[in-house]
Amino acid sequence: MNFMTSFRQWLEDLVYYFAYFPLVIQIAIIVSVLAVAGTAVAYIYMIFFRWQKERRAKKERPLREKVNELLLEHIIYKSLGDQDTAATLPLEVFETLPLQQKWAADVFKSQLLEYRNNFTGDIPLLLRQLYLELGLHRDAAAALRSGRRKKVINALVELSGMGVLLDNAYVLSLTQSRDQYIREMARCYWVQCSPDAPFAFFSHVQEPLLAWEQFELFRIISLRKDIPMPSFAQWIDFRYHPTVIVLCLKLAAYFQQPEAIPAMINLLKTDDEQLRAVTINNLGKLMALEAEPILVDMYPQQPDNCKLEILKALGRIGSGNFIGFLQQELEHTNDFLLMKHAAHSIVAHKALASSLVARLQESLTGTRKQLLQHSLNPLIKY
Amino acid sequence: MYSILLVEDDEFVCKAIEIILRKQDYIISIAKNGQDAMQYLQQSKFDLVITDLMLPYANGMELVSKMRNELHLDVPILVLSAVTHEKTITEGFDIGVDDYLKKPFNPSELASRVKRLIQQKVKNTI
Repeated sequence: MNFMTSFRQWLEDLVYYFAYFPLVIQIAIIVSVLAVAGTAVAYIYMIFFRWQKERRAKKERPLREKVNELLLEHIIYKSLGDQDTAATLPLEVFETLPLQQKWAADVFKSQLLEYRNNFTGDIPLLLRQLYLELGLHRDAAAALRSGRRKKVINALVELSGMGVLLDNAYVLSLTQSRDQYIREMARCYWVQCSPDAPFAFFSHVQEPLLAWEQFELFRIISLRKDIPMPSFAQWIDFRYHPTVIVLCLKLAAYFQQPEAIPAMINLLKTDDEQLRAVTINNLGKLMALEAEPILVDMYPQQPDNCKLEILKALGRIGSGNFIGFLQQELEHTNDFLLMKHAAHSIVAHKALASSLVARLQESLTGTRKQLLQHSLNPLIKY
Repeated sequence: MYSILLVEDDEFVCKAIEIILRKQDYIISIAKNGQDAMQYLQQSKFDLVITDLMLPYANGMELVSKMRNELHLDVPILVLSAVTHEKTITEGFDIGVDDYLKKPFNPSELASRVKRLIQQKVKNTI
């Protein structure tokens, strides 16, 4: 009681004297009070969040253990033993779980995803079948048509994790959604799960595929072993969005599709420097011999980034037909990067360049010689 | 009954492998990192070591190297890892790894490889 009275007295004094403090002190007091209050709120929020998380984990632990037990017993063990019996799922065992409750269904789904991510063979297919037969996909199917971004994205993540494609036409329309996040997730989902036309949306892309999105799509496509890859040359065309072209250039090179070379050569006419540089880079990766004279012809008119890619491409193609051109660049250019890549590309010709390298080691001096030595060191990659 | 030392820091994978291999009648000991594994190896004998490469404190490569060069153990080593970099895998074989299985893995394949490595060890001992 005493403490409360004196605290109250102190507060009253503070309020009384506050008006008489100089402005600077008043501002300092306000800022200090806000900072202390903000810190206190942040700590309280963190403690509350952790407590809630711990409480949820405690509630879920027994169910999680039960689910693990059932999955190991009825899915994993079966996959170890008789292959014929693995095809039948003991649904009645899993139906004893309280899956009608949302939290329980979420725990079950998270365990299914964990098992799908950690095991290969028949197991992911059995888990997918279990997910469908228990009707766990229904919530995600409904959430797909929800107006809330978070719900739609969570549904897409869940369905793509389980490898289930639902509502094809609607999901395809989501790949053109006005919401950037939904659009990106829908594209990844579609490419990962569509059984027959995973690239259907490429022709309709209006908004750019961002760099990380291209990276993710590339990763997903490169992991799909269940479909024959189409010829990506069909999208290497000025009619399509430049970012789709860039992705298809990389895919054509990754899957070594030489039929894409004419389309790539045609693309060299583009005014877009970045696109031209990527095209040249991928012509190099495809070792497009027929592109070499074209690249050398266009070299003098190119900006530095394209010149750099031309030098790299000549090194990758490594026919030896333009080794003199590379030598000339190494000996005469004053641009450090061009010099370095000319040296790299000469060395990349290996046996074809051995006598030239020996001669250059004798004749070159200063930075040019150092760069050649640098390129000859097999322990240095760049 | 053959005994296996499993060196793995991921609890889920640890539990799953433990249950899969127990089902095959192996005795499983678990170490969560390279240091614990070294202690186990100094105290007991194992017929096989299954190790991840990405481990806290001492990584899988260091563990294999210590097992071969410091403890001079000839126990078969199976690496179970998500690392797919070819150079790392060949380096592993160079320093004494006997077999490599990529994560995610097929439990039947793991069981077969474990069986083969232990059989080979038994054959070599005889």
